[in-house]
Amino acid sequence: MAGSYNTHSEQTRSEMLGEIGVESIDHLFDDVPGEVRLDRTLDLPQAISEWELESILKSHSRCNQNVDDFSCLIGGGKYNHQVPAVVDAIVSRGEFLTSYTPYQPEMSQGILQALFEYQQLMSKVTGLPVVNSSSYDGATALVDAAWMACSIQGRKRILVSSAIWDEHREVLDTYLEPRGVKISMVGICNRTGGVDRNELEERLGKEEFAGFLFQSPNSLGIVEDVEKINRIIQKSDCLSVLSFTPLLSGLLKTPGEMGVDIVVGEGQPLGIHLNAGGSSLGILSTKDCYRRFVPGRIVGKVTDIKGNLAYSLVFEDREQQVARDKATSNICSNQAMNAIRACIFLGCYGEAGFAGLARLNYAKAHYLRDRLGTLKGLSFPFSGPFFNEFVVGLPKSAGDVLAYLTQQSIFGGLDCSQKFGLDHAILISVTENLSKSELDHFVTQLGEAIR
Amino acid sequence: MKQSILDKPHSGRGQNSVFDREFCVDGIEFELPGLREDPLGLPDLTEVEVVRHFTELTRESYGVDNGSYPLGSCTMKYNPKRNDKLAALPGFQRVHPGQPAETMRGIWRVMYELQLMLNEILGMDAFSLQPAAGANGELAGLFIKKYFDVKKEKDRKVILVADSAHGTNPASATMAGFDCRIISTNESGTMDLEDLRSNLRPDVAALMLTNPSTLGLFETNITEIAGLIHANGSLLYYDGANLNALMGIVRPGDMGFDVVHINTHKTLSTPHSGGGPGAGPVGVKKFLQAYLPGPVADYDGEDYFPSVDKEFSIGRMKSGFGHFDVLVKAYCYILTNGPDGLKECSENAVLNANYLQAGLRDIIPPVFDRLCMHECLLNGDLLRISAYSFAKRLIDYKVHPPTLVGAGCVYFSDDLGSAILIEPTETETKADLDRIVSVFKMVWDEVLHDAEFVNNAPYSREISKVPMASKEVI
Repeated sequence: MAGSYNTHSEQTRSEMLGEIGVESIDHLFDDVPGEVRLDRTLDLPQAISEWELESILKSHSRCNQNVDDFSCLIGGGKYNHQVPAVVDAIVSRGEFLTSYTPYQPEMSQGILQALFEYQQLMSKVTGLPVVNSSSYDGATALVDAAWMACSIQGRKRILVSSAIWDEHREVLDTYLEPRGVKISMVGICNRTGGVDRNELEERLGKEEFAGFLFQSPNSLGIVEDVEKINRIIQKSDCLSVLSFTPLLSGLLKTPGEMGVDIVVGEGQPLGIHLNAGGSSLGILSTKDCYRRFVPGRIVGKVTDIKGNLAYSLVFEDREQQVARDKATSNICSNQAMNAIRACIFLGCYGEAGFAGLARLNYAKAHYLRDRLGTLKGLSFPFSGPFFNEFVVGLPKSAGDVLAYLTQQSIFGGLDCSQKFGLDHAILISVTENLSKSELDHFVTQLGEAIR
Repeated sequence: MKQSILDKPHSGRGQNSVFDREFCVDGIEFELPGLREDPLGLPDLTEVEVVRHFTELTRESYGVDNGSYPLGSCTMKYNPKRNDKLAALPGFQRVHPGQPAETMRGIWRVMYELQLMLNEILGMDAFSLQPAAGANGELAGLFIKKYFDVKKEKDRKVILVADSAHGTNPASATMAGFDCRIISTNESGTMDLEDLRSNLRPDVAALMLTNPSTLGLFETNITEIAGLIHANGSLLYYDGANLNALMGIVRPGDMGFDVVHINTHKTLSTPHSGGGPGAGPVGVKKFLQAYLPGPVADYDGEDYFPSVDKEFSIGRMKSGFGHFDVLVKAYCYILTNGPDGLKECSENAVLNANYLQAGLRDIIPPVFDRLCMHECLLNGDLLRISAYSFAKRLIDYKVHPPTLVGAGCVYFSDDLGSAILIEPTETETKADLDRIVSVFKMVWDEVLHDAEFVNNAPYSREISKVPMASKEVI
């Protein structure tokens, strides 16, 4: 019997064929025209045992370096934050892991409640009442928000800060160009590294846009002054769309409090493994008045036949399985289990822990920034405030410096040379996972690298 | 409804939960705009309280690990535990996507080999593993309309979709900037060729087809359909939602499909995780390879690395490289089964569906009286109560309800309002299938004796029946 998960013996198959009234397995496929049928065996490696599989996969995995063995100062939207063991333990339970989208509320109250609580806790973090569960990642959530803005405003033009992640910009282009949405950019202030608010005000005064999309911390690590930017946006009739790092709410007023209309973000920092750029979480949150424009699943409360409250998928007439070509999006499978990861993460850290984590990230990053300030030859091109990520100017090629650091078991940051008028520069990120001695070691090694 | 995590009493644990002895954060001046003074309103619980809360929630959930899950068109087969274990190896899970390429060759190797294996299983020439889910792969496939732009055939603005198609098909077509025209199904359950011909005009970019269809039937006229589409200069698009019927038996590429997407959480057994993450690899024939979303994995005989066609690629579908944590499980699944195992999976999937169709025939006859593929579409008109209510009683017997109108990811036209789509998958044993049949028959008998009793089921869960299209309580 081939394969490890097949269940029937030859005899059982014969019995079942007898019940069906068909002579052979082949006859089950009589509807498949002979001329297209495969007349050979698939050219794939032969079946293997569990131990052989494990040996192969371990061998492949060992061809990669990982952030347990290296000091990781790479960020750029995905961060090496601690994933609490509680998160892994809960989401690996089969009742959650092997369930489908909860179309049957009677059988799925637990997972529906977990998703509902994700929406509730995330709403605390964004400061806006509506949260979907979920978009794919920070980049596609930004696309979702841009399209929402276009639909709400009936206008296919958006204005975008040039200091969003490059990947996010690429993803915006992929999705919006075929839909005929025109994207215009606003530059940064060369001194602070934040959005050029004069240019923003000028653009918004002259042209009509559906929304202004910006990011904080931005792609240079600068924490934008969201309130000031919003005051400018609010003078026009354009929507404010912010892509943010959720951890920032540990320290700052929420985006909702600061007047943002649609908040999106990359949820990976909230209990989701790096997974080599694999599955993460797209956060999308907005005001009540825009709820009908929201893409994806929403969990809410309904009543059962006895009048008791129950959780259920709600507001499905926005979604593809009902609205088809009129749907707010085509999303079907989403990132449910990663949303639950974020929910457990927020539950584990809680009010004080979440704030503490944000403070610790800030403290460690600023410690490193101060230590680097003592090294000769480095520059810090932007004066704007930062959270846990910042740009360092180098006296020599960033590629060479990073290569040297890699040899010292340090992932030293992301090369951001030749962007925004920078010559040789890297973007460095610090999380709670880097110890003081790792940071000190990094300073020493970077000093060596630029000598 | 259990107590919400937000309603639990605060433990008063305070700030001590996060600390680093070498970094005192007290007294630091945070130089940031918009510092917060009021609390966010997050819970304040001890670790064990959090664990107990979510463990309790898992007890009111139901997965393939709990029992039969014959949800039509969703392919809820067993998700092998070894794959979960291997996906969590530190050399996979703890890799940052921004690492230098030479420190992640193993990642690119797994992806490259998976691309090749998918080429072989689907009969295609190239795959991109980047899309985040089936519908995202579908959208990527439709963005390949760039091919027509390059060919200066910009007037191809229409996608043809079968009336039985998954809702994602028309939704994706709209998102890619197309209009949809719907092709009807004939009496025998396959595509109406006359209707197809009359809609096949110069404005058609592609026909999207699920084969087997969401009615559980193989499109017997597939060769003719492919001929018509190609003669019109259009592309044939394969929605791989129902690939589980076909592995090692017939390949979309050999049927004439130009673009395909698959859902790894269906055919390739990656856990669906209560809604996701999934993964939606998109595959094409050679002439469309340059258009794939990137980066894709490449190999030069020595090294494995990411690559993208800068001129023709439709661009990025998401950040990162595709759901590697999900894809590696699909890779494990293919390696474990091998070519004969995969074929046997599909054979048994079709065998199991036909066995259920035969076993249930007396009470719920098939809509189309012929052999089915990996799922059977049954006619609930004779049930005396609604299929919706009937299915709810199955819950008390630990059988997940099949796909029905309003409960599942397929779309049924009005004349199939009481249809029931059952997909047992190949990992159910004969004993499991016999039990499913006996549960259906038991409920059938219960309806004869006390329809009202069945109408108010289920009785074994935390909540009672939720009526169809219940109004949200705000």
